[in-house]
Amino acid sequence: MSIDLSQFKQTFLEESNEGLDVLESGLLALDSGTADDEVIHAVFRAAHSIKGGAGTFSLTEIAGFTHIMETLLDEMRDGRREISKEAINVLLTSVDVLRELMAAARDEVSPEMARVNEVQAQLETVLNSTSADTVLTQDDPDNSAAAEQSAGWLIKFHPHEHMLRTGNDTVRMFKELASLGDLENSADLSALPEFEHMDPELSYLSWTIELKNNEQQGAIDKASIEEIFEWVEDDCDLTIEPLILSSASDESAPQNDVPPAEQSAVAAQETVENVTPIAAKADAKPALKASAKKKKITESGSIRVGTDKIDSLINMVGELVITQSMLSQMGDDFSMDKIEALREGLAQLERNTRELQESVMRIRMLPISFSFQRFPRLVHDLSQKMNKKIELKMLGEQTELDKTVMEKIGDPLVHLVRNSLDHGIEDPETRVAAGKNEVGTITLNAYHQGGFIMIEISDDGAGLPKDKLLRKAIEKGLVSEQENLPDEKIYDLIFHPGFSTADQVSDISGRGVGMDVVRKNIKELGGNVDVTTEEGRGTTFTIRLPLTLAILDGQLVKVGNETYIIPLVSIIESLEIETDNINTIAGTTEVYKMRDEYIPLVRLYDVFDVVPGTTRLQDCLLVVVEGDGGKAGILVDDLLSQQQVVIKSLETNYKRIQGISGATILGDGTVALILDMSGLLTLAKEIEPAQSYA
Amino acid sequence: MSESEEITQGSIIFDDTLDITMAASYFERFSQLLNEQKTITLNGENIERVDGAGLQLLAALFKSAEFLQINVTWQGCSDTLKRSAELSGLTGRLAID
Repeated sequence: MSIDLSQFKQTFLEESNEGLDVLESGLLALDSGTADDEVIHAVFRAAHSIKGGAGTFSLTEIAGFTHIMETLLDEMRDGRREISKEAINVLLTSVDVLRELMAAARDEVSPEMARVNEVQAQLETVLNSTSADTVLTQDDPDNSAAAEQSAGWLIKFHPHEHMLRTGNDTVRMFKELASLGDLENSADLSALPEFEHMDPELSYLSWTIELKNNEQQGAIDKASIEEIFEWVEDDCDLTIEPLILSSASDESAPQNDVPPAEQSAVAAQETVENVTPIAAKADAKPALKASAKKKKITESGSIRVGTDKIDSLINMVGELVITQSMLSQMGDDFSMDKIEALREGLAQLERNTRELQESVMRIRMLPISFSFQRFPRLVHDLSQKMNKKIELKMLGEQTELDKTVMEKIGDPLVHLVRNSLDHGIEDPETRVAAGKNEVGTITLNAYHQGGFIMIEISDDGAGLPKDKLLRKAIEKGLVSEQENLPDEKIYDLIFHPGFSTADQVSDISGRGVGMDVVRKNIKELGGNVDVTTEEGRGTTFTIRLPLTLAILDGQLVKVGNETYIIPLVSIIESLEIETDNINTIAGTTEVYKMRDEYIPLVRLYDVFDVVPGTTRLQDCLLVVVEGDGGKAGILVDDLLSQQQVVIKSLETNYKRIQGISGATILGDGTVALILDMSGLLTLAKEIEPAQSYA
Repeated sequence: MSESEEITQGSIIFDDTLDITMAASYFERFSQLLNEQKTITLNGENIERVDGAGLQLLAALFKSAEFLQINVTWQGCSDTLKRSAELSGLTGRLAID
């Protein structure tokens, strides 16, 4: 039986994505000058792990590319190279390339080698620049000073007997060593017992390894060697000493000598394998992108779950089993005097089920930092591009929300942050002239409120230009000149589709690009977005989202023999109808006067063509709902209970129906349709075209 | 052990993997061959993965065969096997060209 490594490839790719995040955030910290020594070490380790893993899975493009990044990072780590803005920028671009390479590996398609080679060339340019080796390390003279003077390192490696059983492989370690320089290895077999007495899973060999510097890679850092043996330091005897060759004057100059011809062919081969595979592959496949048959992109199919959540789940299941067992026993020998115990048992079952449901839902909850983590890079890149100075603050990163919601909120969030960068924060000169700090601040904040997650995107920029917005709205006929709109309604205009075209945006020099799409996307998630602003002081967008898309708090309503569910989030209030408040417009459209406003009435039985219990308005109940930017009154026969319902997709199980967002199965086994307010009101308008909505 | 791996007298055709998970199995078969005291032919053309345990087992086979004056030869050898042996300093001990 052999191990199928492909089963671990997905895990490697997922872990590497986390490594890339570490790389990126570390590089950004280095760039801003806020990093301590540990950051550069963490960045180096992330690159090193990605390279090692990629090698294991034969992802040679990734291994080769990361190797060059690692070499550059190694020089920075040792203080042999200054941490320059240029190097950080190239390394950040390299992280992007690695992401693309990872995505190609995940989707099993050929990567776009032209871009890989271009960025690799940039990396090599930085690597070959004269700043390297000019800054000598201060903190470990034994290490790199020795490496500079010696020809490399002499490594004596004697694994303990059990080392192979720990999953560590000498071949892999030697491969990694060979990627650092030219390797010559000599094995000692003297400890091998007679064949019949050996245990094939124990280790008996030991090695003496000469790892020589070469021209391409320069002096080898001792720490890089130690890192290779990091996992086995307790499972072997290891010494690493500077390698002094007898004819040192001829061979030891590490930086400039041509590698001696007699140096190990193995090492030379490995060097080639680890440094140049990208160029070689690019030559071999000149039109990779064009020929790539892109497989169906698979969404990340797994989720990391904390053991506390799993433990909680197991506890809940245990409780459920006990309750089920109790009820089962009662059912075997039931008599009416046990009715109270049965009730208690059923109540217990309900509690268990709800707790189990909550535990299961918690499994899908992830901290919003997964979504926030892209923004430091976005702000870094865009602020450089726009010559603005911007500080990004992130609060509440551990606030959890459902994985699906997280995936879908990513793009709207990016859009809002880009808008804050582009239109909110002013350039440094303008800010200083306005008496502000030249560095603008964008703050992302997430917190739970009720059953929702709130996400705020705030900036201390110019704010929205109220007068310009209003003028534009009047020009476009969205608002009449006589109308006296409250401020919030004026600011809300930015979410109107009419404000989303480029020419209008440049005119008003404010927000508006695609804001209608942002609001639409957020509404599709069952949430909402609002804006508050103060001219000259800044703007805050507040997004309110449900914690999950799988469960919904709903109001059950009865129409004829049908039960419908109205999302509680859409309901403003429910009331008994006073017939005096009903008016008819243009002879067909019914409206209801509710305090100071008129709201159109929607007869559900007309919309869905079902037989109602009554058509007399005074016998109906009115559920006032909000959807698609307006209010409406839904006429129903009766209000039933409010409860959480598990949403089943109608599209998956049947087909998409306008006005219906899904279905659920009620406790009595019947199916109830869940109403989609926006769709329903649009449908009602189509049925009654003259109808206008408050 | 897979179907593709055939045993003929005094010879072994390796499957694609020669690592610690296969070591015990190959150890038994090597023992058997060494006890038969014949010329042993190895075919490693299919080997795509080999680790330290696999190489050590081969080294032990060659060492024991040398002691027992059994001739061990390679009929074929994959690049992976060659490179891994070279990296591990075992090319000579495994008589890999």
